[in-house]
Amino acid sequence: MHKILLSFAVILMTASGFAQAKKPTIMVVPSDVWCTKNGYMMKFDNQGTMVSIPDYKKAFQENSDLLLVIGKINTLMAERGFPLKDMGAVMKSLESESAENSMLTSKSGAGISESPIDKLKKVAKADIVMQLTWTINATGPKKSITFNLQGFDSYTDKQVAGAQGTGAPSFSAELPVLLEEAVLAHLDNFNSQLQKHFDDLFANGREITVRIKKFDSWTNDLESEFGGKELTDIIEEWMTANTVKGRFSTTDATENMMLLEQVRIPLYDASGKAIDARQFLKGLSDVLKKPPYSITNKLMTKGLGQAVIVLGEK
Amino acid sequence: MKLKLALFALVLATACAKKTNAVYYTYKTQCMSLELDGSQTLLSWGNGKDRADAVEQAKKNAISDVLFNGILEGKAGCNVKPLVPEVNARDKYDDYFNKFFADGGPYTAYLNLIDEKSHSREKKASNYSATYSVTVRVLQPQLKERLIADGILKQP
Repeated sequence: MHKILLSFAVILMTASGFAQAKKPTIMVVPSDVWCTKNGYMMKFDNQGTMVSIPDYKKAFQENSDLLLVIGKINTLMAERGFPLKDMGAVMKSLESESAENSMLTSKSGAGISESPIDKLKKVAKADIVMQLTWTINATGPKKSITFNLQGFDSYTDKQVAGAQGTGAPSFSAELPVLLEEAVLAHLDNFNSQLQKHFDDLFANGREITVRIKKFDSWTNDLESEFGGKELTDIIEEWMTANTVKGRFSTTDATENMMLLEQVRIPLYDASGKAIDARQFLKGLSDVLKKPPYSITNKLMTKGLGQAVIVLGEK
Repeated sequence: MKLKLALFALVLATACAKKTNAVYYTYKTQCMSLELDGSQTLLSWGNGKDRADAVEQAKKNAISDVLFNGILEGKAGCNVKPLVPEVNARDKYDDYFNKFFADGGPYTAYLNLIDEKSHSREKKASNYSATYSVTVRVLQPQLKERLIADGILKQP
């Protein structure tokens, strides 16, 4: 009887509370390393330079292990309350765009191109892209999985969370079971890193990169003066007024270009609508088009987190 | 004898509980429920020199989070979008909001303690100040009307 009372007293002393915070949306993809090892890479012409990028469509169509692994990670993350973006559905909506649309140019020829990966991220609009690498180790009759899980912010491509490890050797031959055994011990720590990053987004804004360029045909440049101020200073003043807590860094500024990094944009605009890099920079584009500047400009984007304004033409 | 043993265990557990300095930690406002008339019941935290001061600060924090941060913790349903989405609005309109949040200021008209259960306020240990939680109902529709009337929010 006194044992029961003692246990009851201890239980009363134990308090636990779990707050349900807003969680980032996740998209799980195989890593570039895994795609290269398994022969699922394709060539992409990035304005004259051939680059290798993962061919996710081929990987999903041909590799059944990939489907099992991605499905298992999706299940584990969903159990922990993270909304998921299904990569298969995203890729299907991408197929409806023609190859010609991947190249955006001005009417006089200058351009910026988006790789299929940038387009995938833009269509998926996931907050975090989880890249997974795994190898199966065999020690006699037992097997284990060594995995590397990386969480990347889809706007900046910066790694914000990571987990690596090897599961205990097991007689089980099924890949999802081995993977779950390996990943489970690390997943909660990984998720808390993701949540910390996401909480920072709400507090300090989302990070993007902004470039300002000019068309060669434009007679002015970024050092031209409007109302006694250089255009570079006018743009920086706009950034200070419109970024969260005035946070941005001018990494480079010449007469022909400006590079602004770690630009913290609010998650919602003044009307309460969720915004991305393009919608944020449209504000600057509109200000420059109107008097007293009256500078024609073209706004272009690369993925979710990079936006470019090119001055002088449309 | 057995009851005395149980009580002793209870006292021992309380005495051995680790003291933390709650003044160094920011407790986030949590959503408790969404009243279907637009108001929201929140659990907010405040820090002050005594209980009354801490409770008043908790009320201000609740309104501030509704206005500028959105309610991201607790149950789903409360507005995750801030009521004033304009970037850096707290700094832009600081004259207005400084008066709004002054002790006994206009903010008091937009919340009430109707949903608070008696003795539900949680205290966090601190050597330097008092940290308390309070359950408040924030009258969001009326708050929005006030901000539109004062020119902080645009007419929809």
